[in-house]
Amino acid sequence: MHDPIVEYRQVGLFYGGYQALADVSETIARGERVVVCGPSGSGKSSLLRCTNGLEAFQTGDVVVDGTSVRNCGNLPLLRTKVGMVFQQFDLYPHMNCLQNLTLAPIRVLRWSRQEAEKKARALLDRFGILDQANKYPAELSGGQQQRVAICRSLILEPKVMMFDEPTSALDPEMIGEVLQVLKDLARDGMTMLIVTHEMRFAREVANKIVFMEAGRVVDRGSGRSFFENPGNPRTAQFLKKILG
Amino acid sequence: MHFEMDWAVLWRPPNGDLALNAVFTTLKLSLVSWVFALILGTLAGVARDSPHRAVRLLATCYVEVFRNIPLLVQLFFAYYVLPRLLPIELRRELFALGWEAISAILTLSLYTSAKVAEHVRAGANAVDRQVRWGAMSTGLTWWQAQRFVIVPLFLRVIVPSLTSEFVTVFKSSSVAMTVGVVETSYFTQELGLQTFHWIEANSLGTAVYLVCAWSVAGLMALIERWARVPGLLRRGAAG
Repeated sequence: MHDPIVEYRQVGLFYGGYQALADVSETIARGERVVVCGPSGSGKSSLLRCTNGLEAFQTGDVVVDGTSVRNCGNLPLLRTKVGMVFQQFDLYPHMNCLQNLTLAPIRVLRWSRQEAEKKARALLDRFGILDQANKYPAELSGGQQQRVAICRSLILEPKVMMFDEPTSALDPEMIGEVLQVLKDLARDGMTMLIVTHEMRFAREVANKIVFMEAGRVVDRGSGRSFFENPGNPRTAQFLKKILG
Repeated sequence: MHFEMDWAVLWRPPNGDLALNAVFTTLKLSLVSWVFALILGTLAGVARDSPHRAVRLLATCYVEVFRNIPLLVQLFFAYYVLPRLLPIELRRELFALGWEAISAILTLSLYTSAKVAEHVRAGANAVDRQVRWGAMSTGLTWWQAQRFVIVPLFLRVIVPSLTSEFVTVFKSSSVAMTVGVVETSYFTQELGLQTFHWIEANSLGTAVYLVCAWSVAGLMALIERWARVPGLLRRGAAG
């Protein structure tokens, strides 16, 4: 496990008295594709939000590309290195697609507007939605919105991309188009951390699968072995339920 | 009872000019106060959601003080008490500048801004925290996320409630007559007293406030239409 890009060091997160994460330690290497699965409320999304400091964890630390999140003097800059895509897309509804993409590059990375728009158009083109550039999020399908949201993160040229159940809010026929985007990114060597219930996809794409329950990592395995020989009885039970 | 109606009393010199001046004063008081109230209220409302505890506390105190003291009491405080706390030269200076109108604008602005702040806070709460996370995950600071995403979004959501506050400013501006500002209400009372044409005078006052209110409502409807987000037709709220 050389060249780590994200390291979780005994991360503990509390919401008041409720412990959302308990001593989570995990390492993600550059180029690795990690799928996080587990039942609702197991802390998967919280873990992602701790990675870029959206959630202030109380104990432990997360180290992203050599920078400690806990002692980070410039969290906004660190966040540009960690792309994040949400279940509900969370685009800015009052801006068109192009503006959604260029806001952060212009305001955070201080690119010129022309430069930002050029890169934005190139990205939209790459994912087949250039013709939607001037439309507003509410005018797009869910699948298109999610692709725009992925572009909004990618334009910052992140070192790692996090996906928080990127297909859970989509109609069945749109899930495929978004998963295809994720597969394309995987093929291009993007480091990815994906929370998903799409187990077929996980099996196909992941180098590593992490199983969480009640704020802890209870099982992990390399892609195939995780599914074929789940060592942990709780994992086996979960997989049986979800795979049917 | 016999009334001799004489509508010409409203425009017969010098009343016509005086009436226009009074109406103009009402507009000036209201519009200037509204601009200040909108700016201060937005800041205070956003500050109530600040990540810093001290800022939140300060904003809460501001809102709770200015919202909960009657406008008239605030105006009397500003007009009669505040100048007495100042050195005599400065006090003279203030009254030379027209402290009547200034204290009225000050009071109206602060009072209205506290109410605007409450609408702003409600609007900010209505914007999903997920949208804020989305914005901040791209590296925008809390302040940038507010400025470019959250505030533009919820201002659209709260336009209808702001409309009624805007109308209220015009109506409330009539308290300025109590400290001697010759605005519409002052003028109509004065005209009534001098001519005993109370019906004509008060009809004028009524009409002025109604026209102001309708104009504001029309203007805000235009703004609402202009700011509408394509695809979000009739759904109003964000997301």
